[in-house]
Amino acid sequence: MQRKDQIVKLEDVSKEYRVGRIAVPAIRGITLSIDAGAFLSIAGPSGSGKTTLLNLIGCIDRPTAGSVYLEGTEISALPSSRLAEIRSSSLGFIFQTFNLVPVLSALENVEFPLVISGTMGGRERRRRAQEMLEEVGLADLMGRRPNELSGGQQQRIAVARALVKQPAIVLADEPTANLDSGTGGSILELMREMNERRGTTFLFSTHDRMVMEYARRLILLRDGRIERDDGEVS
Amino acid sequence: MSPVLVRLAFRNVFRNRKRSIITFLSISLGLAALVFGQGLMLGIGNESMKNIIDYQTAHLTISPPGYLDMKETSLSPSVPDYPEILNSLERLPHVEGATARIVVPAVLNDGMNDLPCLASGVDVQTDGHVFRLADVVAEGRYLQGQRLEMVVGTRLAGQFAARPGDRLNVIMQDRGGEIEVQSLEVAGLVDTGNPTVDRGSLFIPLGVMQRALGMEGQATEVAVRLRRASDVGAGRAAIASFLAAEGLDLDVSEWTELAGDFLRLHRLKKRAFGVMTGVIVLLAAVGIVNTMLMASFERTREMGMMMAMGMKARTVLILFLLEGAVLGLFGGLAGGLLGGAATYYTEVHGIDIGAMYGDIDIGYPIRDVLRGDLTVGTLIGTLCFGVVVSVLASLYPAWRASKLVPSEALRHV
Ligand SMILES: Nc1ncnc2c1ncn2[C@@H]1O[C@H](COP(=O)(O)OP(=O)(O)OP(=O)(O)O)[C@@H](O)[C@H]1O
Ligand SMILES: [Mg+2]
Repeated sequence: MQRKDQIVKLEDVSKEYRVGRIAVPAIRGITLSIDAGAFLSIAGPSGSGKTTLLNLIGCIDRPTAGSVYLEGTEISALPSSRLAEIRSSSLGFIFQTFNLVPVLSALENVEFPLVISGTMGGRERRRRAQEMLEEVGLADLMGRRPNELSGGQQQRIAVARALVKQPAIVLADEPTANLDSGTGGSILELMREMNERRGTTFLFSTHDRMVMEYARRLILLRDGRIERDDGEVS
Repeated sequence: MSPVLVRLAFRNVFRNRKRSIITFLSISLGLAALVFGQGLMLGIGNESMKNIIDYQTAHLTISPPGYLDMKETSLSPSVPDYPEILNSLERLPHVEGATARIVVPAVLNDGMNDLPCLASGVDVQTDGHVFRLADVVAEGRYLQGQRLEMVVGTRLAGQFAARPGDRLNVIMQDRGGEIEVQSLEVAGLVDTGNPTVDRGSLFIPLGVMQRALGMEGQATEVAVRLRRASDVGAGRAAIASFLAAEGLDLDVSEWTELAGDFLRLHRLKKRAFGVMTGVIVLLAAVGIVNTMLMASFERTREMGMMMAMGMKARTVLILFLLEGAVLGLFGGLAGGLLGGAATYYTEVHGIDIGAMYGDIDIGYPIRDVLRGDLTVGTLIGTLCFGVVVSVLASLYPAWRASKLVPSEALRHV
């Protein structure tokens, strides 16, 4: 049975990629459940399957075998257009690099997910985006283009963008990999603050020891398997 | 479609300055050539038609059956009771004016040399209601009353080095087959720009012509000018039914039948021009395809990111098509401006090909100063054409971008 507060649940999920005639296994039979409000880090060496796992949970990719439940819905059989709708309505994304649209201002970037979901008018969109920028402390830079902002500021904007739709889950693939440790730390502080204040579930991947320290639950991947899961530490 | 998407498309177009400028230049130069060529063709075509209608054919010609085949022979039948027909014609719809002429072949002679030409007996009172000869007298003056004089095309007179005041012999055949020689004074020279007229026509007062040929009270044709050239079909029908009602066995022919050769040539040249611009536009389109493909390739990761955020494939398609449209719009605006300015320059100043190439025949009944004709229709048409071509050229790149799989696009570096 699917417990209501288990926002994500994976049952014996595998994912292989086909490269020519060879099947490359990226995830090998992972079973996992994540409670709503978690602040969870997926760590592991390069090639261990972190991005693949996040993509499976984020409805960006489908598993080769097994089931993925998101807020109780089995998603692996849904058509792509439905997956796009789920991504647009329930999920927020933060990527490692080239995160923001370079030709849009900070404000427009934060507004963009609301444009995609198309659920509100321009005025309301801008108001929300502005509030979100204030929350991450960058309200006075909202007119700037990404290349006029530092790496840390850009990732703050990305956090604001991921949260503006008030999604249930934010997925962040190595959000601090391109930042120095001080700036990276402050981004993680920000994410944890948002997690605590809003109750949003955060899943982020990293291979940085320092970053793992911020997590309240740590999953270690190796060769597509969970090597260690220290469960919820409160 | 969200205005944000339009804004995004605008900015994306100007993202890679160098590439956009090159693409943009190729579109705008292609479209400028299109505007200019079209303006020039239109100007030349319109002036040619005007020169044919004003000096040679009028809009409509009423003549006895079979006249057109026999025109330029001495045996052409004549129009009976033409003054009554003229009176009634003026009251018909679409008709602006009508006049009677006798047109026969003649030989012009200065005592030594002979040149064949076409002699027209013109009614000095009414000819100006239809033809515009009096406006293009280059030397001397136009015909006055029924004097024994004539007006000669400049080039024809030039063959004899004849000037106003000189006398030349006009040799014609009368109805009985007798050769008639009229010694007439050159009153003036007309320079119409239409070589058929300038090189091969002379004009004599109708009364003088009628007496010389024994055709008192007769004419070989009645020429009609309409209020608008576009009324030619309706005007012809009105006149034909009037003639039928009066029981007159006369034909009505349109100027397009009389100028068939010219129109066929013009159509051919327009087609050749169309093919040429087609090639130019195709080249520009290839440039657009290339630019858009490169843009979609460079932005693979960005598209992956947008699609991961839930942007639909259809929206990606629309975004790229919008970018194509923006490129076409700006290319069209610049091309229209450039081509329009060039056309306008020729409209005001003309291109003097006579000065450039000497006395050449470009196959059009016009003077050797080419004048373009700039119309709003051409500009708007070109702008739309630019946008449509650009959007079409973006279809494939846009389709490719929309087929991206987000997980793979995100891995793209
Ligand atoms: N589209 C793909 N095609 C082929 N193989 C793939 C593809 N995506 C991932 N893989 C393979 O799957 C395995 C897991 O890749 P994944 O990107 O999930 O690892 P990761 O832990 O995110 O690594 P990194 O730390 O380098 O980002 C790797 O062996 C990788 O080469
Ligand atoms: Mg990765």
